[in-house]
Amino acid sequence: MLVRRSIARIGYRFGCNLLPLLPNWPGEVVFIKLLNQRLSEELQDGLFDFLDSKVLEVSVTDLGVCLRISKRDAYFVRAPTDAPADSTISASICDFLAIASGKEDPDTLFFQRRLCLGGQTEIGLTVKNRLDALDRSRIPQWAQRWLEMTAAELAAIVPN
Amino acid sequence: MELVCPAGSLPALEAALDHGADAVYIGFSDATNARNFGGLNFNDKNALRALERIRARGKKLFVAINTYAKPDSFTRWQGAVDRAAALSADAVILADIGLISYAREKHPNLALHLSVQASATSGPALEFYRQQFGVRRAVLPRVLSLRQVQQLAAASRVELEVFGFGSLCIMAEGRCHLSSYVTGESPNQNGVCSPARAVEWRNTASGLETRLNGVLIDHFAEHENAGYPTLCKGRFIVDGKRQHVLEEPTSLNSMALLPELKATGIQAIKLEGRQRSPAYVAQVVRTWREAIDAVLEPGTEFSVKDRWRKTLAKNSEGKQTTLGAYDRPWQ
Ligand code: SF4
Repeated sequence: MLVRRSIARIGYRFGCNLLPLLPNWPGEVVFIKLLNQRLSEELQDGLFDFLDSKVLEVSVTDLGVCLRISKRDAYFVRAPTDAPADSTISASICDFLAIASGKEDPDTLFFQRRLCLGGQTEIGLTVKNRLDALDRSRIPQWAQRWLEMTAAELAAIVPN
Repeated sequence: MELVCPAGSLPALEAALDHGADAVYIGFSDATNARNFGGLNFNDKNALRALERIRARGKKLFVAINTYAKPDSFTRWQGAVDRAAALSADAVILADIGLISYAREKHPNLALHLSVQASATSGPALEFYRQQFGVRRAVLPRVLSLRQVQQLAAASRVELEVFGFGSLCIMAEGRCHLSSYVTGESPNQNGVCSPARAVEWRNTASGLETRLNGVLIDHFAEHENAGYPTLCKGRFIVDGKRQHVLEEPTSLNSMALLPELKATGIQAIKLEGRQRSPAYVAQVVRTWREAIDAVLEPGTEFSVKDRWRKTLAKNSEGKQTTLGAYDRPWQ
């Protein structure tokens, strides 16, 4: 328990210091690939068509990471670097993980100013609702457990 | 006392069932329901899945078709009632009297609930809906005080459902013109108060500004809790003072009144929040399940546990919860 917490603390500090120094594109490539794999059915069904040619910017504030996503045909793609964001979502890694693991309600975090929306609110809100509607049982068990554990560890070491 | 819970998606419906819902209410993904937000609600495929999951647990499914049709779009609202009937939902929640009449004639076996949007606040109004259309249950508007609820319940032959918890829509249920005044779209006709396309958040040097169709609704300092910009919950300068003129952004929480509501014979407690995530549904439903079980336990004195209060406060819009009109003795 204690060991795990120390590792989390070191990893988190390391991430906060190192990640802002690195370019964003490798993270973007990996994240978008993952999204395309996991959400292929939803993409085929047109559930993310509202993002066509739009730029969504997701910022993890404490890690200094910023992922810019767009959509073309039935795929998420990296957004062109010069295009301004149509919609922005930002929060700390803790809060993103708490949302992803189903522990926290995004609206609650939003009311508490821990999750920020910018630009066209409708895009951000629709993204939130689409993600809420995803069937969690499709996330592999181990990944869910990992998400929950990491979220809990980070919540314990990072003050909000 | 039945616990009626919101679901804007299948995972939210699962969360409600997992944590103790007796009934779940959903809407179709269009303007026929009052939470018409992008990415929310159920298409036919998902509505069918919802029904299967409800049946597997032996619970009830209600479909809210609680907005008002325009003269040229009535068929769409009729279609929604037909779809709910084809689904064999346990009830439809309706507001438009024309639609209620249609549902009664076309689907004589479909149970009808009167939506809060219909704004029936008197005994004769409830009795009219029962006699004319066989309405089985009515959701009481949040404008009534506890004493008024008790008076209604004493004489009503319609089952009564009251709001337990959720964002507060102020004292003009089904009659509010604030959203259409600013955005041209209203809850009753377009299924949405303050549509997201009209909402703008702007970070300024002095804090966060929020606008609705260009109109400044509120300004939040650095660590102040923010709310969704409905006109009723904005802060405006009146008599030289910036204040909440119409309503504070709080959430209604009537948990402390559970013993009185039970004694009055209220049949169901409704939780608000189809626009919220499965995490909200899980936390709020679990809390209310425990509270209702506690109040139904014979021979024990009911009191609201601190843990319950905290969970609900955390999930509420604004930092606090209120008894709302239930506690307005002057009414
Ligand atoms: S403006 Fe306020 S009172 Fe009017 S419908 Fe919207 S939330 Fe309700």
